[in-house]
Amino acid sequence: MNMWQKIKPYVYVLPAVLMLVMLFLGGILQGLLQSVGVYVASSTYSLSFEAYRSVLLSEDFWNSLTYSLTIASTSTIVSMWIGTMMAFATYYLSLRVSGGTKIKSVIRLQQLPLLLPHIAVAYMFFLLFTQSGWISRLSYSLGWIEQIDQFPILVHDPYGWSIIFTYVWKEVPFIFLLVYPVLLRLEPSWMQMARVHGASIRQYFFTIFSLLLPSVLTSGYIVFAFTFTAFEVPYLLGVTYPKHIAVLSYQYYSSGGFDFREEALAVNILLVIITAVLGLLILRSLKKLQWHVRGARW
Amino acid sequence: MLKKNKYTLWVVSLSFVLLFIVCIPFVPLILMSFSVHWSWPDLFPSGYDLRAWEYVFLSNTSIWNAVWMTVVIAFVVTFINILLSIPAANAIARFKWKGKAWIELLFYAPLIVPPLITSMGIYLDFLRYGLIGTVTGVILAHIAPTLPYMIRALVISFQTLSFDWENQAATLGANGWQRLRYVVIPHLVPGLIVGCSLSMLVSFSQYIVTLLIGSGKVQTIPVLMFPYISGGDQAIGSVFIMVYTIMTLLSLFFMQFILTFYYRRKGIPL
Repeated sequence: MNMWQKIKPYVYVLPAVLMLVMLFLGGILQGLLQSVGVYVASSTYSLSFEAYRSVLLSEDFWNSLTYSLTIASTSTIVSMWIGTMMAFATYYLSLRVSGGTKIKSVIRLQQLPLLLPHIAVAYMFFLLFTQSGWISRLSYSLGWIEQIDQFPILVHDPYGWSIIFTYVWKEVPFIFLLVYPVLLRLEPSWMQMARVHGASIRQYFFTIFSLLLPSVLTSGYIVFAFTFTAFEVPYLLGVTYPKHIAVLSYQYYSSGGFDFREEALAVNILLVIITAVLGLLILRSLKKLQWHVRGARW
Repeated sequence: MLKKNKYTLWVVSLSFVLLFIVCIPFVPLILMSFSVHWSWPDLFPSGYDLRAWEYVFLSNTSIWNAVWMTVVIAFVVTFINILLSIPAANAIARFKWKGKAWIELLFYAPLIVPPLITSMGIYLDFLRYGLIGTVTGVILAHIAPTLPYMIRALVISFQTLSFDWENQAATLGANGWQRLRYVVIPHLVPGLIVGCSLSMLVSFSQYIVTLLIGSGKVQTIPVLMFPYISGGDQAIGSVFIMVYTIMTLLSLFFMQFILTFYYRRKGIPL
């Protein structure tokens, strides 16, 4: 009985662990091995770092990396900012307005983007922001522009504007979803107390912000990892050069038979390393923060 | 009283801004799908017809197969996720054991590493086992990116399920299966619905992984429509996106409906 109690949790997680070890870790490990020329299945062990050398020496890779990092960090920071502001504004108003239904409808409404697949949103934003798109037509009707080429190029452009718009529209509700419950755990009396002592709403927000920081950072990191490595949205809205890093990897992978397969896998492994290092950094700063917060008896 | 009105005004204006931002992307999509001639700078098409809809539904009969394929894959993936996640989430939420942090890291890692990366790595193995170009292969490829959502949703549910309830049921003579059926599962229903919705949504969203592992033979909606939306007739592209969006929303509302139905039957106020 005691023995069973001890091994019970391990038995419980076993099926899910096996599945992820095979399909997920196996995928990463095989990618890693094959990127250095080790093919376990066909017993080919010609260990070489040629693929990494050629990737790291190619200008295309660095241009793609910069392009993807810029788009991902811009989308993430903007989404985190708007999402947190939205959450705080909703929380603040919910304390002020009697009757929860109005607030609930606000929350429901802004959650709609979460329910749509990224591909659909990307296409909607293409129709909205392309040079002959609806915003351009709207600008003409309002007399802001007279010719089609006066409208800025926002789709297939070198800065990835439409990609950023798509991600922000899609991810703000996600940040909201993870930050809002933390706000609900705050004592409403804290705000009254702060107000009594003459703090402005802004001061109150910055005071409680450190309590929100774990969920803001975690959700922001998930958004960053997703926007940094996702394929579909940049493939639909991105520019031909530089290609988004996931698009570049897939292009290496699928073009010219197996010639650039190892390069593609090398790019993938580098992406995993970059995201993992960033994750560790965030984890460490969160640990420090938790000490700080625990000191405040949260 | 006056002060109260000020905040209500804020809520109302916030709702309107939100309504505008959330709804405006749908406007050109819907117009475009029915448009006849729509040249710049007209704000609205000069005429409306069903040409693009007819093209997608009549001259292209594979659309219903693709809808069916997409939904079946999502359902099977979600069902497998339920079976894997109920025990796993239980162990994560309610037991103390060595190595838990590492296993949790493994469970949530697919949120961070996208399925395209793992699929490229595992491609040769799938090829060896004859899984490339099969529905089974695609289902397996969809499990890793969807599983973390199911586990997370169920962990939250399990955290509020006390062992006392199960023990009490055991004292009253319920066997293991009865405790699962009448105590554990009912408590998990809300979490299950959230997990299922997210799992299906993520499965619906996969394009490149389905294309790679299905090698074009497994025609889900994203695979079928991608050539039309990455260039070509915008009216037809818009119809595909509308079908895709409606299919997704209907599936999610169906899930929501089950939840509401469940709560009503239990007499739990919403």
